[in-house]
Amino acid sequence: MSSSENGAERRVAITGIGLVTPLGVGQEDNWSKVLAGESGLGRPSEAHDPNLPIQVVGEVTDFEPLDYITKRLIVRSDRNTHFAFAACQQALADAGIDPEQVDKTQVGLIFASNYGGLSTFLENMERLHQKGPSFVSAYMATSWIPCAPIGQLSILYGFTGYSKTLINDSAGGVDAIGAAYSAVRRGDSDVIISGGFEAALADAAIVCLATFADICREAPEPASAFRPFDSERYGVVIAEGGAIVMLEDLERARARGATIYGEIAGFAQTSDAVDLRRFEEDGVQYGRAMRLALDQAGVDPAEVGYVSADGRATAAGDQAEARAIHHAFGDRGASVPVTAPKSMFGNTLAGAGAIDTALAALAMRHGKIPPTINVEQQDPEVNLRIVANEPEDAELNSVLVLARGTGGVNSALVLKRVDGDG
Amino acid sequence: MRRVVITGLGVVAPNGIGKEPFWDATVKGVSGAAKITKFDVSQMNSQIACEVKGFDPSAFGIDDDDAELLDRHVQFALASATQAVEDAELDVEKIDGERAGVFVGSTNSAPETYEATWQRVTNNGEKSMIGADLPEDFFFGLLANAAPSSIGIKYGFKGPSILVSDACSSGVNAIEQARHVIFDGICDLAIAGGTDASVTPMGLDCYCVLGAVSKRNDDPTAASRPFDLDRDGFVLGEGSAMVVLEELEHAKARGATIYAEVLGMRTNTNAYHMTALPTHGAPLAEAMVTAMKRARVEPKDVHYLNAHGTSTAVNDRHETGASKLAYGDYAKKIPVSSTKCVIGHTQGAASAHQMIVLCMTLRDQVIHPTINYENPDPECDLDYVPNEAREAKIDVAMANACGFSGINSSIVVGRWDRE
Repeated sequence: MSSSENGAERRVAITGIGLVTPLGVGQEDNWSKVLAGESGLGRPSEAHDPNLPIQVVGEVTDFEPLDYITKRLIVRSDRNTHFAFAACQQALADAGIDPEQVDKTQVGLIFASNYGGLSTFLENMERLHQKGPSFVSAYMATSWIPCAPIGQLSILYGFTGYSKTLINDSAGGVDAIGAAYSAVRRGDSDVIISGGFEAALADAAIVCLATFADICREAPEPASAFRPFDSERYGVVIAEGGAIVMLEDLERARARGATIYGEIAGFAQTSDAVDLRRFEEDGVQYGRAMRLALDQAGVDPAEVGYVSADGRATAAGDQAEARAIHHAFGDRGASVPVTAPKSMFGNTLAGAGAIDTALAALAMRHGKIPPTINVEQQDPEVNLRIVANEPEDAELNSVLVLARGTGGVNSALVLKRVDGDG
Repeated sequence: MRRVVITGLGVVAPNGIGKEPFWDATVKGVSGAAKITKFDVSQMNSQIACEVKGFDPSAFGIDDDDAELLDRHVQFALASATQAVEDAELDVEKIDGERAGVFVGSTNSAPETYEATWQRVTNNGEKSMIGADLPEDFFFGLLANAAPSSIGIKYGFKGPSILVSDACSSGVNAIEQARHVIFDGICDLAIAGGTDASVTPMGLDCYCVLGAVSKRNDDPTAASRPFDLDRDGFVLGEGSAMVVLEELEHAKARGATIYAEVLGMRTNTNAYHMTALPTHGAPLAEAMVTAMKRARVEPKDVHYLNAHGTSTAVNDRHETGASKLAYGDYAKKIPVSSTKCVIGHTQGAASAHQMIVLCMTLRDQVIHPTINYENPDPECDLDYVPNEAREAKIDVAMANACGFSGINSSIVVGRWDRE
């Protein structure tokens, strides 16, 4: 329950990271490619129908589920769960948490997912309607539900703590980490494995995504197709993958001598409440989410090391985001460093905010701001200092991670350096 | 300490739309189950469901365009939210929209919109989706968070908004999230609850192949029989329920009628199996005990337990065992009933429907029966309030929810002005 029911509020450390993205699998691979400004985007792989209406995607390649889970479990779960298993293994190892040694009642899981086990659903649709009801897999229901990853991981490791699955389009990943932060803070569990994953690149899903005008269908060069804040942009490039950020009661983390990336110090969410199809044009509610999160964290806008932006790569989306940042940062609106690392990964929907949070933790540790690639001619209507094309060295004491979701949801998360650690 | 109360109720249920029709039918034991006629079930082993009948979107302000675009679960959510706001007599022009949130639980987003469209444009899989003539804005019909966002847009709520997808615990877990933001001072009020509309070929068949749904096709209203020895699975349901959750002083200041105070909650996981349950029921018992502890009540203070009660042997025995662990000697004294006997398993909405039941139980001081209880299961030996409603003094009541993936939730509510 809430903090005042359980005693004093706790501080919440980040002690582990796991990444499965179009750039690669694992922290080292992802971080080195991010610093090099590489792109994980390309044409749909050969497994897809060549006539797809979307010709630029961010696919997770070189990913072998057998490296992480048994064959038996692979067939009983969907690709989004496979991503979660891989990232969870990485995050536990990174945090130095041995699942057999930890108090399993105190470990929870909070993930975001929009479409659950979509490939399983689509495959079984063919079976049901082509062959008949008895041909549907007995694992259809439990692969399809969005909470399958938390169910399967809790079973694998025996974790019985506070767990949850949240859905909020591409804001969901930040929301899941925000909910985990709130839960550890008030004492619902000591450790929460949080993040988000999406695997929605099946052909029949891509066809549906293509009915949304904001989504990029084609670009001259696939690798440079996702161009937030650039004058010549083609919309959101859809991708798959996600990340895990291990959250832990700071005192507990210190007591066991964990390496601490930093802490989550603030989280807020607001809604535009304007229209299902578009964001609020002036960005007032988005800016309000930023201020609320910074206030909770006790961080002055002047102290923010960088802003990790949503980066829609649509004129309306980028310009509304710029206005929102100005609302929140006032005089510093045009000078605070802003970046959209998604330009390298694509928008992984439920995974997006989790990847951005993981990168923010790595950025604080390494003192480098990830770049926004493909910025050649910045949109003059976007009056922001974009960290363009090259990473920047910076002593980062705090980072503001932003996310927006279709439907008009705005989320903001504040990461802070923990004195004497990381 | 801020206190969180319930001031408005909205219901779309298979046995009634609106809180009074729903409650009246539930107390009288009127089932919403019937043979499925909207798609071909001849090859499926379960051919029955509790469907919502006579749903008119326009009665809840949903215009023709939205009725065309939005999935049935979103329309249900809008309908129950609209009722809840009206029931709470909330003047949305007078409240601070920035301090109002929306939290909706749902199991699977938009299965009907996708499945029906897929069937149509591919001719049941004969043709590819590629090149198919899809409806304009189809993406928004599939948007998984369309339910909370649509409610927020309707009422101008600019606080937090999210969809919680914790399988069959989704509704109450959405209420839990809403309660936190009110408790923590982020919001003054929120619309919260659950919605699901998965009575589709795939929505039903994915449970048929698991052997989880009832095959009592010749007698639909007798098929959902929680705790009865002759049960053979759950009956798939659909619908929505929403409550207005509000900070106590905010509710009092505007003179709101208060149904109940949310006293304590707990959610955890079994870490056991995606569908099966541990017979001992220890994690669910832990959820019940912790919810009581947080509510600062003893087992003897809980006057009614609304069970998850799915009408599957594994669930009913698990829940009975967990209740004994949690309530000890008092377990056999507490009246227990399951609302699924009359509305089936409404999945993401189920625990939200249970919340409506708790509020109406507190209001009317009457416990609805568990119908179809004819032949006691020796392993389920609690007081299940069989077949007849019962008057009782009820100040505090609990509801349980258990979902696939092993997610358990318990919630304790009480009369806000009790001694």
